[in-house]
Amino acid sequence: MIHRFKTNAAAVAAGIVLTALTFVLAMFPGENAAARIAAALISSALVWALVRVIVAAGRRREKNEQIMKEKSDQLVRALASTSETEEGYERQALAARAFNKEMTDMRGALINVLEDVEESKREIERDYRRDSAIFEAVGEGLIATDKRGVIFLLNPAAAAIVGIPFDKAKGMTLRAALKLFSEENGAPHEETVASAFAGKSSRLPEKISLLNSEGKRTPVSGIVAPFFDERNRIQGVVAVIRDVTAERELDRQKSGFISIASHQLRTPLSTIRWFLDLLLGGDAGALKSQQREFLQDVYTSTTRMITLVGDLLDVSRIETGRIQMKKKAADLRALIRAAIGDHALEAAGKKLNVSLDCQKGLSEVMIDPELMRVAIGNLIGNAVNYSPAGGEVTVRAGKEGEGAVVEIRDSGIGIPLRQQHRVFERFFRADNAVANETMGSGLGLYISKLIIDASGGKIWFESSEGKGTRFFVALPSAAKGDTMGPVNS
Amino acid sequence: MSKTILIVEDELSMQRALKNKLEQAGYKVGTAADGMQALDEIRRTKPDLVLLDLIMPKLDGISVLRELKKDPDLRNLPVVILTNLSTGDKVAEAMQLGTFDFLVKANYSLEDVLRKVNDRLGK
Repeated sequence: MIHRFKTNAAAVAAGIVLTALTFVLAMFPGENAAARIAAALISSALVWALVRVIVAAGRRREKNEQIMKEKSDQLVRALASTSETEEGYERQALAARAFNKEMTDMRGALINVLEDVEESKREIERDYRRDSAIFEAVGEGLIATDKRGVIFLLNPAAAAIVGIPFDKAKGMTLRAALKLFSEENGAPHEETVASAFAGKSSRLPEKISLLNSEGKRTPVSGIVAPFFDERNRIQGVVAVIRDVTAERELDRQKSGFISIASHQLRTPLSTIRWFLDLLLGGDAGALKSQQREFLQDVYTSTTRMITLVGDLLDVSRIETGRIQMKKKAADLRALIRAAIGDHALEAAGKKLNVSLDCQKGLSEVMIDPELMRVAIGNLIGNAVNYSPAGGEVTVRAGKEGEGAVVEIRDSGIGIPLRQQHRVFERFFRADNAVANETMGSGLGLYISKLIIDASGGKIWFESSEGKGTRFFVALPSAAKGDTMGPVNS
Repeated sequence: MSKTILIVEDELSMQRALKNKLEQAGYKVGTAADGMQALDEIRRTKPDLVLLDLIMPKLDGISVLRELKKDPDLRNLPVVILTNLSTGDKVAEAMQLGTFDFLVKANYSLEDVLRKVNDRLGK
């Protein structure tokens, strides 16, 4: 076969050269003979190389076929020989046993894996059932979405609030199911949900209502939080919402009760005090000294009750937002003067000097003057009450950045360091205040802080027990800021 | 001749305490227990000053103020408003009808009320 190929190759090569010579001589008759023969030879060489490549590929294939055939023959021979001898049989048996063992091991491993998978499945099922029970039972409405905001979980409490059962809500967007509105201006409230999709968890602000599928509005509170995968990419958000209708109603009733009770109490209390005024003023005849003493005690207690009732009334109104802040540009100096005037009688009674020092060119502040008079008045009242007779109370007002700062400084009993963090709590009174002076409801500073915070201002203090206290109130300039807003916002 | 004051107050004990104090100070004092009665008394007796409560049966203090402002003869009658309301509420409403003195009853002693009355009557 190889020999035949060689013969064939020589004939093919000669044929190629002859064809090329004839072709070149015919195509280029004007050229010199040497050049024409060279061209013919180069062309022949190229064609020959091509033929060789094709032939080599055919030969390689033949060789591979040959090798495969030899190997398969060897295999057939080996199998024949091993089955025929004792040793071969042993080897075969060993191999079979090894194979068997391997298979058994693999089967064991496979069963283990399957059992693990089964256990994981059961665990997932258990977790799922447990979580479902929690989601179903929890009183709070739970809604969870994927990262596109499409709902995949909505528990019965949420279904009741939004008015959409889970089978209908599934696949809806959170935006479509959870329609929130600000009760203050009626505008849609989307910030809390948007901020969750931006990766930040936050609570719904106060006074948000939800418009359900039947067009009913329900006041709600809640929180919307994102959840993440292992690489901290947002996978979706979960909204927890609660119907606060009952709380609102309770709060309204509580405030209504306090308001009515306070009004109703104030009238008879004022009457009692006026008659005490008459008796103590000698309008009903001269009093014996002991009679005067007793009536003076009644007078003090009555005054204390009037103050307490008034404070409770203020707190209930401010907390429920029933007092609307009417902010306007106000002259701080006039306001402080009025507040000092409100406590002039008490100060005179204790022979206390209350001085006012106002920096020149003080700009107007943006506040509700009526309420701020109460707030600053409470601070001045405390300074007067807790200073020793003949002491000094200094009120200063000065520029601070755009706005102003008022300082009320006294030489009183001070606030114990360990109780300073509780000073603005409702009904809190420091131990030394209780010991020193029986009057006081523990509401004054709480009210002042409510008013000052709602005015966009700030209140703070420095105090040293036994030496005195300095209260500071920073107020915004009239040059900027809004003009209306509820006090408790 | 002593000046006359009309006390408009539905709480009779308060009315009595006030009357007592003002009479001791030498004023001639009349009383009314509701808004209707107040307007009648004002027109009939032409007092020098009115102490006016805001919350009253029949006709409240704000309505009385409105009536007074409509009447050219009574428009400038001095009125001191007595109230148990604190800031806001009806006080703001009254302020829109003119400038008045306000006395929150719970915060003022009878002596304070007398001082205010004396101020207004130039005594």
